[in-house]
Formats: sequence, structure tokens, C-alpha cells
Amino acid sequence: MISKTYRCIINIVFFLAGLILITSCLMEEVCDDINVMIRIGFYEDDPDNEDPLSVTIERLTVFGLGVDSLVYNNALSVGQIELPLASHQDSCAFVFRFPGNERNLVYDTIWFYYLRSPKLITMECGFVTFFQLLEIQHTTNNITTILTEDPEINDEFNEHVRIFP
Amino acid sequence: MSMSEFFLRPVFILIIGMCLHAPVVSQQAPGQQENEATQKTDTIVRFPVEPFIRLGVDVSAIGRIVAEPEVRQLEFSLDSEVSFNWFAVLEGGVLEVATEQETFSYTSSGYFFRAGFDYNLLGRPTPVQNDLVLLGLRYGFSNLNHEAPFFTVSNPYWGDHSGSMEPSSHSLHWLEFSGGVKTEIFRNLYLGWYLKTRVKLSETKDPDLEPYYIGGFGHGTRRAPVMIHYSILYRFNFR
Repeated sequence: MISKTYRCIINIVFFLAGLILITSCLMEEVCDDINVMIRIGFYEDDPDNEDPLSVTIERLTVFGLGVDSLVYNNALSVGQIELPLASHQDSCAFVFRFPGNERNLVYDTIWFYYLRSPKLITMECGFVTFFQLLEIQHTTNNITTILTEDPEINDEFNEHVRIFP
Repeated sequence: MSMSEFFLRPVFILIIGMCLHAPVVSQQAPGQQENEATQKTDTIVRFPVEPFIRLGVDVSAIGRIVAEPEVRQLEFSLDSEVSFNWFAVLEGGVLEVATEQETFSYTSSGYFFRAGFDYNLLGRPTPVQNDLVLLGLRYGFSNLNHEAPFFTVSNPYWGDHSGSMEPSSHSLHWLEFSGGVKTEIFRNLYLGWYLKTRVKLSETKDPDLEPYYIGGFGHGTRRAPVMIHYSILYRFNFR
């Protein structure tokens, strides 16, 4: 009887293994899901707590320095943004336009310096570039501080940088 | 990958799995059941170690070729019982990856081996050891040479970037923990599968180019800690 029980267990385990196989196949990455962007959140210091408070920017415009098109165009109530880094050079810069007092607009420029690492993700998706953030420089018209939370910019959905306006 | 491929691949792999599964179901012979009924004991008897070598070939490569024809891996295994319920295991194989796409080309070739032990949780209720449930530990090593003669990275905002990666070598040492089953479907012929999880110990690599597939280990850039291996094995007895 022992052997029969064991064989039953073996059959069940074989079946479960088939299910795991299917699941792992369905979990294959789809190219559209691979989105290597630097993720930036906006925060302000909380006097009552060590962790800063998440804030939203009322109206935000962002574009790459030297690029004609806008990444964000007067986006409303923005708490977090995603920006594409340049994969053909080791640095790039973005200009941020914040709402100022009355009708004035305030501009800040942020320079990102990084290492690039092309990766072959899948045969269907081909190569994408992962980045390792080395340094951030910025003007201080509206931005007071920028902190790097996670320097590894890859296909995970972490927040990499915190901006304190 | 088209939608039809996306859904057909797992179905095909399931069929392979079920084909491996079916003979185990039909294995129950009436005579055997009677023998089992007469042997009503739960005591694990310590039968003597049998001298044999079991040679296996990894058939999950078939499923892998269906999913990714660019990746070809051939793998064999040897195991033998060195002490009661303890099996020394040696596994090894070769890997070749070759693809030329519109946006990139990539080639890789290398070899790998694993060495370690399996412990049989079932003990041996009968003198003939035809079912094993195994826990295993392996040390693994892989070495490969690879290159990407050209590639293009799409970047709609800043502009696409093209480049090439010179030939470079990659080696990896890892530890592997496995659980699996081997079951005798005909005399001396076994089916087996393992679920394996791996931990990297040390890696020597070109920082610019990570291998697409590491022989014996799996995808280099994906985080897939658990892999499954199916194999067919034949036992050569020496007594």
C-alpha cells in the first residue's frame, strides 16, 4: 500500500509541475512592459516625521534640454513622473517648468550623469539600456534638494529620485 | 511573439509534460498491488547499496527549443548510490545561442557542469528501488564566450542608439538546491524531474555585455529563481 500512496503522490506532483510550467510560460515578459525610465517623486519635509510627505505639483511641464518635444505638457496635479534617459550618451538634462507666484513661471534644469549598460532582454524585445545613476546636478530656482533613492534604473518599477521643491 | 504563439507554447509544453506523466499512471500492475498488500509494513528496511550508474538526458530542452529556438542546450546526467539513500550526481552539457534579428545579432557558446548529492526521502521500502523523491544540493560552474556584433536600442525621445559588443568571456559559480522525483516506468528506464533554485556565488563578466542564457543556470538578465527540468534516465546495473 505504501508504494501505491507514493505513486499517487508522484502523479500529483507531476501534474503540479505541469501547472508551474504553464504559469512560468505565461509569465514571459512582453516587450511593451519593459519601460526603462527614471522615476521621480515630489516631496516636502514633514516636521512631525522622519519620512517626507508626498506632494503634487499643480501644473508641470518637462522637456529634454536640446529636444523640441515635451515629455510633460502642463500636466495637472503631478505626484510622480517618468523620464527617458538618453541611451546614446552618458548624461542628459531636463528642464522643469513649475507654477510660480501670480503669473510667473519658475524654471529649473536637472542634469543626470550615469553609466549605461545595454541588455539583451528577450529575442523578441532585443536590447534595452539599463542605467546606473552616478550624480545629479540642478539649479535652485524652485528645487531645494534632490535625493537619489535607488541608482539602478532598470525594468523594475522603483522610484529612483526624490525632488523637494 | 504573436498572440497564437503566446497561448500555444504553454499548451505544447503541457502536452510534453502529460506525456511524461501518463506512463506513471499506467504503471500500476495488478500483481504489484497484491505484492504491496502482502508487504504491510511502514518500516524502512536498510537494503544494501546497489552498484549501478544511471545515465540521463535532459528532455526539457525540447520545450525550451519550442519556446526559444535560438537557445540550444544539451545536457546529460550521471548518478550512482554511494551510501544508503545518498546519490552522487554529476551533470554537464553544452550551450549554443545564435540569432540574427533586424535590430541585433548575438552569438554565445559554452559548457557547464554541476556536481553534488541527492538524498532519497522515500528510503527504500522494497529491495527494488523504483521510486525516488529527492532533495539535492549541487555546485555549478558555467563558462561561455559571447558577442553582439551589432545592436540598436530604441529611444523614441532622444533618438535610437546603435553599437556593438566585442567578444568576451563569462564564467559563473553557483549553488543549487533541488527537489524532484525519479520513477521507473519500465525495467531500468526512469522518468525524472527536478525543481531547482539557484544562488550565484561568484561571477566573472564583461560589465558591458551580460549573457542572454547561461548554460546550466538559465537566463542571465531575468529573475527566474525556480526552473524545472524533465529527464529520461537509464540505469546500468553492475550485478
